[in-house]
Amino acid sequence: MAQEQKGIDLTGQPFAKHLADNNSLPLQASETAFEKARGVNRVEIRTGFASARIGGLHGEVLKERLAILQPVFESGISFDFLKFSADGMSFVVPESLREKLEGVLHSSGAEFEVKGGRAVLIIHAVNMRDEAGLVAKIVSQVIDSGANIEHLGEMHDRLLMLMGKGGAEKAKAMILASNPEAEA
Amino acid sequence: MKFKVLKFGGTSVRTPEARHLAALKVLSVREQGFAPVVVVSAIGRKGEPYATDTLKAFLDDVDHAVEPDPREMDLVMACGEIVSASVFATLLRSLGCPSMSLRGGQAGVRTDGVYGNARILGVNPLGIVEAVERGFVPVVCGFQGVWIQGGLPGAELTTLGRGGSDTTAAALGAALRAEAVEIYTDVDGVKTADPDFVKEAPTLSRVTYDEVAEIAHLGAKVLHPRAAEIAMKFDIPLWVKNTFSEEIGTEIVPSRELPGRRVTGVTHSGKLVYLQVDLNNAEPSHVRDLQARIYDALARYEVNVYMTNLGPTSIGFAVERVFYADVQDMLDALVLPMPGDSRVVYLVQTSNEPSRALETQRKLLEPLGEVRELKFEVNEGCTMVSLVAYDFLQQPGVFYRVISLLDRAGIPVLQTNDSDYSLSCLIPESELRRAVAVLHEEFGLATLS
Repeated sequence: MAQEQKGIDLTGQPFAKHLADNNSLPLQASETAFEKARGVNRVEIRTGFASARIGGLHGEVLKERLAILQPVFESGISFDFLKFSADGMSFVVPESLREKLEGVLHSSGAEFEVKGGRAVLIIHAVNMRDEAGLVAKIVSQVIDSGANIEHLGEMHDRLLMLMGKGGAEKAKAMILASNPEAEA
Repeated sequence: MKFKVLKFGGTSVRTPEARHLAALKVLSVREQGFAPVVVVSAIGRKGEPYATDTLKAFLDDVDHAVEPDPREMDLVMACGEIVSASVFATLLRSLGCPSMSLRGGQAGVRTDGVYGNARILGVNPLGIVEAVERGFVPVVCGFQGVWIQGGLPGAELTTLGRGGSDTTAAALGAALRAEAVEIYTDVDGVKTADPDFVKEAPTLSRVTYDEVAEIAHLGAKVLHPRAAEIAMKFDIPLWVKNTFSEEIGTEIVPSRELPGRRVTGVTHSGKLVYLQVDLNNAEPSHVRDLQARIYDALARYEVNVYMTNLGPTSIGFAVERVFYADVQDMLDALVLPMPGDSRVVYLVQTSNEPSRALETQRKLLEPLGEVRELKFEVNEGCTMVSLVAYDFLQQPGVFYRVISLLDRAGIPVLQTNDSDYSLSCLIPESELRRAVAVLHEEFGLATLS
């Protein structure tokens, strides 16, 4: 069926074949895997962290917390995973700084608990925000595995959860079992 | 044959004048000796006649009580790109440039069978190659592909979900081994902040795939993370450029090409509602079950959560404000029985005063055991401001510097979230403009380029 306007000719092979919607040519290996599979695609564990939980704070939210964080900062201790709770806050430091942190918190007079031997379970899932409910589902699965999530962070392609090393191993096994295509 | 893929978003094809400027970009690329392959989005934005949301409303409005079938929704939504591609191809031909429009399936975009949010499985670009060999500039409908194994006659049309046209462009670029993929929009490239908030925010000349994906994840609409993922995987040079200017734009490159510690920019999300429940009213042995049940409910109702916080004394998370009414409906009066021999039952309360549903549940449950309320504290007027950085946030003091800066500016920080590439603070929406400005100034972003 030639078009009236010059330059358009959809007749003949292979053009018509290639433009057909029902083109059933099998995908070549080089064509596949443009996008990673939906959902979890990799699970890993990083170790070597300690977590601190500060409690008993009831005054002005940010001021009270900054008063405790200031000496931590001034001692050159880097912290991550800062989370504010109703009565305090929690954060994570490298295990190597645990003793130093305990000293600083002790001096500040804060009500605190520092736990060593923490691990970060990292669950990779491309573009998690577009997968409705995915973050909540992963969190729910990890809790069901028996792991105790102490902190939680996220970025565009991964969810990071701090927990004990044993819990991280159990959670990793459970996530991998329910996502057989995910890499360990 | 050296291909360049040029993708034009809704604002770039919105008016005849905009389309003319876009067409001139295509002609310019052609004159430089490249074979341009054009990808277009639907014309205009929400409310305009052929915009995706307008087309979607045709089906939504049939019966508000019944969710339209996703297959029918994909067919109607894909019409926007078909109109746009046909108009653009006709425009190119009117300018003396042979051109033809191609639907996603004709361009070889093959997807899985998830209507409304399909993933690209592969691209068979032979049709595009042959169109180019015959002297045409192909204009491909973005946002759509076909599912071959549909079990129905012919191939099933699917749409790619959010950022679908960016994803189409990146996938075609990968399949064609293109010299570059250029994403045209109405800003000069990736900025260090929203120019509506910080007028002097400069355009970055280069950023990495990961940085731009994180910027997009945190609210900036420059480029969809899925497109960045494909370009990164296939090492395709990616650019963000402005249809309406001759600025060079922003090149998006692999991390190895842009090493070094830096702050990339400040971004912000939309309107959020933060919900936090104090678990001090719960038995310590019940905390894990309460966490699991609340998150399980959120997952079952497919609620997207932000700023998640889990602790022995509280659970907190934010949801987009447009979905808050649904989340409140789902959570309010939710009954959370505890396993084992416990006679304690928890009831979720999401408003200051107990709702009628909650009172009814309480009366029904009281004869069975002890009923305890889990009252959510709800902060409706929130948003998220984020600092995006590369190899920077692990330095001692950055976190403290950010929150103490916001405190000095009198901006309350309700919650925080951090990752390898970003540090986000949940703040009152009323403080957003100031928060973006003070962070932009503190980290010297006005002098970046």
